[in-house]
Amino acid sequence: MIHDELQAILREVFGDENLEMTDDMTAEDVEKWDSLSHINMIVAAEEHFGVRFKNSQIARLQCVGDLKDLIMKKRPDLD
Amino acid sequence: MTATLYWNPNTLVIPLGKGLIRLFQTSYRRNVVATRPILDLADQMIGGAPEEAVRERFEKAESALRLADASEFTLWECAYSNSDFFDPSFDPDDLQTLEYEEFVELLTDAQILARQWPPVFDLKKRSFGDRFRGTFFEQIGTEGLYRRTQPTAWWTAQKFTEDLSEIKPTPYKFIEEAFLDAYIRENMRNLEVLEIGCGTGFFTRRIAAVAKRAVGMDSNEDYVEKARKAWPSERYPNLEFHVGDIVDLSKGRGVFQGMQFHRIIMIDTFLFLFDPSYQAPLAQRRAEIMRNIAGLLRPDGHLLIMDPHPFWLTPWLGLESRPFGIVTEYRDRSFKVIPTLEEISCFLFENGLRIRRILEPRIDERYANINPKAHAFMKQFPQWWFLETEKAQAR
Repeated sequence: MIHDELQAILREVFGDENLEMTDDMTAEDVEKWDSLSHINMIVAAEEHFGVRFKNSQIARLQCVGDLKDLIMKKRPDLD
Repeated sequence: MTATLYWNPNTLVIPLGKGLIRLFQTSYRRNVVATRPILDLADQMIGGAPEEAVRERFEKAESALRLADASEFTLWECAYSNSDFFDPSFDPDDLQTLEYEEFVELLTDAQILARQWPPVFDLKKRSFGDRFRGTFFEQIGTEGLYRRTQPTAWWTAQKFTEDLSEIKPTPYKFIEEAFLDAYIRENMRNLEVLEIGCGTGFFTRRIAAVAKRAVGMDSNEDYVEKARKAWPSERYPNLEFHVGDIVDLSKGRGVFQGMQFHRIIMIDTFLFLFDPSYQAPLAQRRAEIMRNIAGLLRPDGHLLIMDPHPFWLTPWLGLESRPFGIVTEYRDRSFKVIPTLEEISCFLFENGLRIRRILEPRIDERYANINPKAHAFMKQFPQWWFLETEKAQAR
């Protein structure tokens, strides 16, 4: 499940093992989510799912749900 | 009601030759290249024009009007290189005939067109991926995201060679290093010196070559580890590096508590005390920071500040023999985040320090062979200033 795998990445990157990921979650909701950890999150997601996002796609990301949709679009085999 | 489109007069119109026109939005540092019919459209939209009329003229131009976005974050290679964000890889083959809607979207996105008068100026970043908005440091962060690079890694890579032993042939070398080498040699012999925000310790090591003792402090553990590895204390007995927090000296092992120095130097660090967007605690707690600095300074000591000059990151144009810069901000800062001279001098004064001298280091002539245009601009307009301060009761 993309949800569980992405949640594991967010827990690791933001150093919070109890983080409960929701689709409408944004940086406002997570204490350690700043511009630096945002880079780590993108890099970790790309590595884990074996994908490469375009800059224009990264620019449009508003919330965790957008990232999940993007991964699903690149890896339709996963769901 | 019909919509109105306004040409933003903060756009410079620069002929490139061969019928090409560069549109440079000075406040947002955006560039669009277009063919000649853009001049007719600009003429029409000065002061505002109804959208139908603009569309009509756009459609009359047909394939004679071609455009391309030519903005690129050129500062990624070196923070002191060309700062007008004009894409060095721009190729006239990139020009395209656009649909009317695409044309308006490109020019409004680049803030060359506005839908209201006066155009609203807002450089605030809307998301982590929002490119060409935010302060210079926030834009570095966005580029880091696009290039999958942490800004700290970028910082060392654009400034130093891989083994950290040399500065790359940029203004860092031909202004900053040239000036500091001479200053250190002439003014720090046999003194005890602390560098706050020492990074990977390049200049702390230079200080140690003449000083009695050189101590580097940085809050970034990776930097301090790199500095210790590059210049181990077994080989450099008067040189030491410590992780330290200038906001709270008791943090870590509190190694700095009780220390006092003849000279404290901050290189490209002091400005962050005035920038609320990047490392917010430094700006919020700058009064405490100054008290800590004053406590680390001997009564006859000097605090030395080397910071980017307000001319830094000023896009330059014109002849090499007579260049000019485009200054778009000073007091009300959205991009450069450099404090004004008034803010600096009042802040120092309120904290018991006064300025002895302000130096504006010159560029080494050898840079003319590397980047003649940048050299010409930087020869005329200083890129750093260097403030020598002392405790107010010292005289």
